[in-house]
Amino acid sequence: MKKSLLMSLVLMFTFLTGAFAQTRTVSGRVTDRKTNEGLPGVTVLVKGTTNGTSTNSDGGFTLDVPSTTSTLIFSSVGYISQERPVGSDASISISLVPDVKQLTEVVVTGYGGSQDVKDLTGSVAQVKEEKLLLQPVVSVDQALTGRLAGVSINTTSGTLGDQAAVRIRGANSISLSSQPLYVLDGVPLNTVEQANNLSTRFNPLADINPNDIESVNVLKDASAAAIYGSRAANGVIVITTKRGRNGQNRVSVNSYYGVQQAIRKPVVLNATDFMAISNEKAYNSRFGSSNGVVNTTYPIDIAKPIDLNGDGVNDETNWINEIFRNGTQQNYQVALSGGNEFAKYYGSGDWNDQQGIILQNRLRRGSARLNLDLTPKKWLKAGVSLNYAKTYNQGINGEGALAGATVSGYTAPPNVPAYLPDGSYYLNSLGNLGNGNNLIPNSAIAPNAYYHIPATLNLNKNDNTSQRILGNGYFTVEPITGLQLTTKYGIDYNTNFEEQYSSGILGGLGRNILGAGQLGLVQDYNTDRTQFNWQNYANYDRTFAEKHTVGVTAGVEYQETRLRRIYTVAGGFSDDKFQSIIDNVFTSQAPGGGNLSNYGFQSYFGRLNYNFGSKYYASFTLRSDASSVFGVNNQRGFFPGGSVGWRISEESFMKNISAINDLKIRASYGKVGNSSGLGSYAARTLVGGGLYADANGFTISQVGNVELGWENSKKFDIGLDAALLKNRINVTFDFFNNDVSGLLLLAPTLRTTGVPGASIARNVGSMYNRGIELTVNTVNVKLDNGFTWTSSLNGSIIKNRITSLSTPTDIISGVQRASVGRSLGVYYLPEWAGVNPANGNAQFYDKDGNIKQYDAAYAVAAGTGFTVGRWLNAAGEPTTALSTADYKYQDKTGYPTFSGGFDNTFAFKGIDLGIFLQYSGGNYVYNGYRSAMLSSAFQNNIEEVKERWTTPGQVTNVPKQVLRDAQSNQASTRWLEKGDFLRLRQISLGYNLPDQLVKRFGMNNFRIYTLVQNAYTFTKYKGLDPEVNSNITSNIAYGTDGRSVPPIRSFTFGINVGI
Amino acid sequence: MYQNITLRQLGLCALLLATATGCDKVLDQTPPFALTQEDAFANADRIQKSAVGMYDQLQNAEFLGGRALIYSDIRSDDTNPAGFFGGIGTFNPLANDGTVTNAWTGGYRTIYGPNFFLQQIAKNPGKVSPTLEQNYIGEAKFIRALTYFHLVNLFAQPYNFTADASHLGVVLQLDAPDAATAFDASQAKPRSTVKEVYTQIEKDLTEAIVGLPETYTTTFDKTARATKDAARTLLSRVYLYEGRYADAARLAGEVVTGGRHSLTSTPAVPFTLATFSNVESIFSVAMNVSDNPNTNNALGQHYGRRFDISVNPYALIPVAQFPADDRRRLLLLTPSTIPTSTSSPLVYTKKYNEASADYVPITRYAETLLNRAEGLAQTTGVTAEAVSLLNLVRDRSKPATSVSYTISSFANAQALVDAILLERRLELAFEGHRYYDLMRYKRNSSRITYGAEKAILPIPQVDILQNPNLVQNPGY
Repeated sequence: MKKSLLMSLVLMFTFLTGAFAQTRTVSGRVTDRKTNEGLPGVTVLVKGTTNGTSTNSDGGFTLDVPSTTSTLIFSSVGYISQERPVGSDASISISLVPDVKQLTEVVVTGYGGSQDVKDLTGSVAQVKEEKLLLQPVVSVDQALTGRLAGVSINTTSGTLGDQAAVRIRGANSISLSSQPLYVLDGVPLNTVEQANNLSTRFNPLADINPNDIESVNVLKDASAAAIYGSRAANGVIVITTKRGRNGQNRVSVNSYYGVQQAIRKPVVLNATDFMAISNEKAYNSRFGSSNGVVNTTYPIDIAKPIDLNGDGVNDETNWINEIFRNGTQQNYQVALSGGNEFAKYYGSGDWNDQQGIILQNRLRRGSARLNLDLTPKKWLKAGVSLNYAKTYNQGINGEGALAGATVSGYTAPPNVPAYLPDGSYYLNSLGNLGNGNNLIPNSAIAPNAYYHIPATLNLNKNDNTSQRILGNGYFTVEPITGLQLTTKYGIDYNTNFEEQYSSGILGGLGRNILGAGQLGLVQDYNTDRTQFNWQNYANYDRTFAEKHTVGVTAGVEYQETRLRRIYTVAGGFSDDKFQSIIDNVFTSQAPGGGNLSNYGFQSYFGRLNYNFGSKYYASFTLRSDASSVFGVNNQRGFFPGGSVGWRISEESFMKNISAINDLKIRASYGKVGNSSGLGSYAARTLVGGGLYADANGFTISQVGNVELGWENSKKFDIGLDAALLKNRINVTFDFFNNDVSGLLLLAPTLRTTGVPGASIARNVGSMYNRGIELTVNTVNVKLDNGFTWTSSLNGSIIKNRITSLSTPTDIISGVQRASVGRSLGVYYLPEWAGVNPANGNAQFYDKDGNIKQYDAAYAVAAGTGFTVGRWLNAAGEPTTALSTADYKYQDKTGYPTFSGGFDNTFAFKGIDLGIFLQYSGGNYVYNGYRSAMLSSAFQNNIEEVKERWTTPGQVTNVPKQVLRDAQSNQASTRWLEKGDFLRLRQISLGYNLPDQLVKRFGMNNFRIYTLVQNAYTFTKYKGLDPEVNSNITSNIAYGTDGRSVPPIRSFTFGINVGI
Repeated sequence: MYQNITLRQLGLCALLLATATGCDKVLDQTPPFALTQEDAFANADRIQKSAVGMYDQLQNAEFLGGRALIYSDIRSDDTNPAGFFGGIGTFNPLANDGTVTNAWTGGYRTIYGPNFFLQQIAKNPGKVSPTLEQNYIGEAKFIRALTYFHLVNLFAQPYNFTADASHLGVVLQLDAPDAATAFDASQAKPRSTVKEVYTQIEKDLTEAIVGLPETYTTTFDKTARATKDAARTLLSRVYLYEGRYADAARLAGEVVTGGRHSLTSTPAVPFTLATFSNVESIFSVAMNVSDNPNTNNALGQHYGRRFDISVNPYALIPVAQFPADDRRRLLLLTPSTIPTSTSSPLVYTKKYNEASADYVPITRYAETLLNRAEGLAQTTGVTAEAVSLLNLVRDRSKPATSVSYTISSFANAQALVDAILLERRLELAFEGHRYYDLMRYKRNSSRITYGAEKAILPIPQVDILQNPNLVQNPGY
């Protein structure tokens, strides 16, 4: 319709001018000079007029032209434009030459800047569309895993909606967020600053459809990132979405369907083993270590079978099978793009539905995008990028909750039924899992009540619904050639609604919370977060005297973020059907509440790029940022950066070396900052509402620090880019050193100070990250028959040291520390000395390397009860308890020291096979999963417990099991395991239907593919997966496996049709 | 062409204008939810609210929001071992036990409230009337003393562990450190002796008695805010722990003669939602549905909803001592029938019935009476006054078939003291008394002996690791 309207306008124009001139018809075909195939979408214009057309799918065109026409212009993106005298020809065939310069990769550097990869002097890594497209992931961060040197992406669990932990060149802060800055189409994106209140998950990156992304650039060094100044310390990930192109009107339809499963599931004891081991735990605690005292604290035979349905077989439940399932994922996307010289468009709609590997876990997203660029005048350009996404996440309680699927779900007794004979859930009077014939007379035996996890997953609700509008509009004028003035206004609006329903049938929140008999509880949180960003900048690009190319950028930027949250609670629902706040269906309502906070940024920035003949390069960047977060005296920071480059291959003495096609060395240095993750009012003393039952009061909630200032990163980078052997080998090598000073920390105070939150935001200490990165892209095989094998190998090695701390002692988080002279996250633990083969006692080394063993089963009468357990030395004589004085630095950290990926693509006649390996190592994982699953409490254990010590002389690593013995399983190096792994991250097989066939159906391309994600992992790690990390927001306690849901393996089948 | 240039220039001007009229106010952010510390003490009304805020901090979910009482009772001979509270209920916490660490942190966090208030009120003199100023200061000192009383009893051996109480107590923190001082080496304080901690508690309470009012006007304030009688009763308890019985009797006597308090009609009245404020409850930490320690910490959750603590040993006290139809059984236990064993059927207390909204009882008049009775019995032996005080408490709940005590019921002072201790056990159960009452008489609890290393909690590892002057309790 649109097209015909355009045609009629052209005709009208022709008609009007027809009074003065005769017209005639010219037709012809435009082909690619290299392939000799017809080129669709080429603009054909009569020179000096707006009279024109574009070629059809086979490159053909027909155009009525005035008889006076002398020349036609043929132009298309990616090709060098050609002018062709017409003469009297009625038929014109022309072939266009691909524009090599235009086809080289362009890297977006921010604020209107972009640079050819060949001209870069900073360290920038790039992933293009084809590596992102059609992966079975909901957010782009997961698609980047292993693709980029120096960029570590840690998918933390298989729970849907979990954010990945992204670290660029290591963790660059101690307590602030180490997540990079994300910039979407030139506007900073909110990614980390919206913690959810309930245990629902919200991944702000999941609101961007990965298939809408054209490219992802990662700015790693100061020179590249300094234009983002204070927010660039953790690196910058610049995401550019697809935009329409002149003359290429395309429709693309993508869809995939996949099946997903857990990489590995826990293998827990069956009912028989569970009962044997549980009763052995009780027996050992009762009859002790042969001192003759019978400790009657715990009864014997605590675990007994039950046959509730009377079928003569003891009831048994494999809770793992009840909780896990095979998930599915389906995705549908339609995208339209195209345009002419006045208007270009890209629009898409997407629907994604993922059913997770845990019962009831499901995430659905619908999104739509419209990118529009208008050029009504040659000197005026304007456009918008608009994205709307709605994500509905049916979440689950995770590792942080007692009722979490991986907490009660892994440890529940297997010797009870899951369901009563009538099909209802098997529950006890408290709404928890029924006890069967197990003796759980009070909670002294088991640490907690066992929740009925399938019932919890089915009956409770942990929903998160987010609606996100990401939009920006720009307006650019070019008052004189080369000078562009741009104003750009962006908004990132998110409204996030969390709704948790706790059923009154089950123990926990749903029961009587708001008063006796009040069954069912709804908690609703609504959070609105609005981020405004306004940029005004000028770009000037000009080449003087043919060799001096200058690019200048200068501008100002304002940003303000506003957060508003309200919540409400209701209980006592009239029926389990009603699970939301609806009038007249509940009896009691707790008073609601809410919160407000705002913060702002104000910045000036400038950048100067100069190159001489594409041979010598220099650039300088300066940014000044002020943030309302900091103390009034320290709000503003200055962030300069500079770089130089020398393209040696352009020198005349290199011209004869044919093996080297391109060679560039470059160096950069600069200072960038970090403030992300600090509270909005981190520098201030806050005295806020301090309600005392019915009375209003004020309470101090934060001790401020007016001296709080920027955390600075001084980044040095020296690198080399080379293209060898007819560009068949491309190498990029970097050495980097990143000195971070003024480390911002919510510095822990001694608890005895009483300071609210036991911390005060401070600038403490400094550290460095240094390392090397290498990327090698090669065309290994390229045969005349069309067979190619290309590969891309990347790797990085990194070393971290804390160089100073202004706190009097180490900064401690869990079992890990920041300690001067050591790597961030160093483990500080007592050392495990194995199990004493003579008596099964757990043994540890004291500070002098002597053995201390814990005799857990020992009891002496005390009052009417017993004092239990004692510490012995190696000789079996009583000694003092293992204490913190015996703890040692382990010279091991949770951070990988090397990581990378190896991607291989084999292509032959439309078939392509991809094999992508990801590797990482040098780190140690604190295996909290194994520690919890080998607990001596009355709970189910993993199979490893079968190796427990039972008989004198037995050599094993699992101590004698004594009920509720916390000492033997205490934190120690026993739980520290190597996190090295090599993962077959992706295997893909695709087939592109032959062009002739596709064209016959009026299509441009038709591709089918199948893909296996996380196919196999080579690792010695004993937990479910070495990559899990329960503390993604922590930089010190990084690398703890705390019973997260295991990651997902997926099998996907998809099609991709272009029309 | 000419026209084009004009428009281009116009565009340039418009953009420059836009840039010039920028919004620098984005940097000017004040928290919408908080005042500065200066503002919070700017006038009489705000100072009053800052004073009330100290009670908000007293509600600390990990401490006197109820947990501090639980940590005492689950180690006594009145409860089954409770596994929910880390290793506390089973006497095997590690030094890094999360529950223990939170209790320590919560206690000192509570104390920061009064310390901060005292610091700020000194900087803002004359903004409230001298009477009110003394009142608020008295409340601050009462809250600090109450918190230290629980801290020192949780983390240190009882007062009588050494003859002069010279064994290690807890760290005495009387300042509210700010950003400049919180990281100072002087904050790495050693533990004071138990004697020093008790001396500070006595000093605070003595000064509080001077400044606090006898009573307030609103029903809520009468129980929910500190009064002279609250401080007197607490001080009398402190003296009992120190073995200063005459002083204990004197202080409790002042409350009795004051006549502002009396026992309610049944022992259930102080534990009933509508009557949390009553003539008997001298001081409780108030709670309501919207302001409470939450579902994982409130007394009512642990005792009455989650059933984390069963009280069969209490219900199994022989009927000779605790008759089957004693009102404290009938009204305050469920089921009220005597169980067959410690595990069957499980018995729970009904003192905390309101989920999260239960008040935390700190001092009740019943305690005042028993404090005085004990003080008298220890100093003047079996007297009519001591016996009648004991009867006041006992007769409210005993069945009609049991006869009241008379002087002749007791062969000697010790027999009277034992009867008083039994009555404390029956009457004040699950209010944080029993374990400490055993310890101060060097008696064993059912599962631990007096003076055992594990009879007290470890000093949390997090502070041990960061404060070289802090000494760990033996055995941890």
